[in-house]
Amino acid sequence: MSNDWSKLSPDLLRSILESLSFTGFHRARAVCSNWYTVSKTCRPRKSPRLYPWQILFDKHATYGLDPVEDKMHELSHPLLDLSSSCVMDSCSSWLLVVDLDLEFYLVHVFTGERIYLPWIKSSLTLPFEVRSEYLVDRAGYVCPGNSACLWISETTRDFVVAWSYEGYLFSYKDGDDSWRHHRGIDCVSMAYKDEKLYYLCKTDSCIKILDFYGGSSEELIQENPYRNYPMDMRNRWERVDNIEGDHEMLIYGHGVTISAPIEDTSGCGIASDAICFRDDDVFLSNGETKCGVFDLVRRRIIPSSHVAHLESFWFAPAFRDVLKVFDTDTK
Amino acid sequence: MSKKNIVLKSSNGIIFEVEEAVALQSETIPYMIEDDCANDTIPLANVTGDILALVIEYCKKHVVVADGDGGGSSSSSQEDLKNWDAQFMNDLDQSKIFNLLLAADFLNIKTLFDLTCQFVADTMIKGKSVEEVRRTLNIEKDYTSEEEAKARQENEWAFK
Repeated sequence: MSNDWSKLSPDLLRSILESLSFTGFHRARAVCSNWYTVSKTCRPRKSPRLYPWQILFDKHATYGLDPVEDKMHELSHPLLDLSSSCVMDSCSSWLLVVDLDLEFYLVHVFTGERIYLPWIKSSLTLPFEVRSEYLVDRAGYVCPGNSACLWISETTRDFVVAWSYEGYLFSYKDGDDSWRHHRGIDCVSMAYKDEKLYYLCKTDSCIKILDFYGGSSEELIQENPYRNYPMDMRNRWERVDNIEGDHEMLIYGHGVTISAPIEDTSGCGIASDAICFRDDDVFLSNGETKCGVFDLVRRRIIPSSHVAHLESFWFAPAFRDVLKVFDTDTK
Repeated sequence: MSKKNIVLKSSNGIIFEVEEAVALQSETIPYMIEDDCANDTIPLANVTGDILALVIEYCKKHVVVADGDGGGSSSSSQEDLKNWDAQFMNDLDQSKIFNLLLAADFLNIKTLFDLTCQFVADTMIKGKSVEEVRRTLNIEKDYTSEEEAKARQENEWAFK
């Protein structure tokens, strides 16, 4: 009875590889050539492979923390010059970054690939000056507040970027020649989905929708189901007992949800029906926790065990995206 | 309703008689029943006796629970089953696991197949270095040094 693991049929091997965590999967590709070949045909199928990571910043390095394997990975490429730039938002494996010179770019967490956006100073004539120190917090690595948004397609690499500043909303859509700006939009928080930008307006506390379909960016008024429901941002908290029938997980402050059941296999709290937060999102009495997870079912907060002194940020790596990037690189 | 029994024969000629409900967790066996004469023994040329015994043990455990609660199994019995599954897998050596995986695939028992895949992933690959995985699973490195370096380079962060 020979049991040769290297010669398992591709279907069987694929099933095993797809059961691995993100890190385990990428390491397994280096085991032998058959595993490598089969790994290219893998599709994220099971839940444990899709879950949020933390990216941790410190002066000299950037780390990826895989909370399920409880392992830190130093991201070796020079990801960011953090002395003069800040992370504004993330979408799948991409971060939106701005530097003190108001240069905006997207950077891929694992490959370090960058996509530069047009320079805002040359692309827009504004009646006022955008002061970069309001966007780039020199004491930290992550921009204060939640009023920026990145959306990028894993397959086509189409992307949209938006951020708000002093009553203006700035947006850039992949392929446009320049930035756009919208006046009179004072926004607290925003998210992008299905070619629409949803933002919470400071003036009347309602969620508004801008339609980015085609070349436009018009506000949808009649079609907006939230228009008559102002949120009370001061006093009333709404109690939430579960998110979408227990099958979703919310990464707070980013407008990202993972729409798949996630099983907590490691006790780190990363599971469906939990909220991942960072310090901007919550007011904790002890004032210590920076990043963590709130477990809605057990009603408890699980602070991140790792390196409480480092500033961190949640993101949800996209496996398909990562694979695609690597595969095109090797061609 | 009278309980019907099904007779299975392993590749090394060992005979097992099991209740139909137990055997029908395999999606392959119904086809074999149709193809062969229903009353006859079903020969499983790919599965040895010791592995078939394990498969049947698993199927028996899982059929009981599905019956016991009249369809919807309670969360405590789900929990019990999970613990039982973990213990079941833990007691097996690597060669048994390998063959159980092949058997679960051949017999098309989805839950057993998923369980085995996850167990292999968690205990034999997860958290191990590439060399450890090769050693654990007795896999020969068939890369040239350049190829291996390339495969590692693509995901350098995963090796730190």
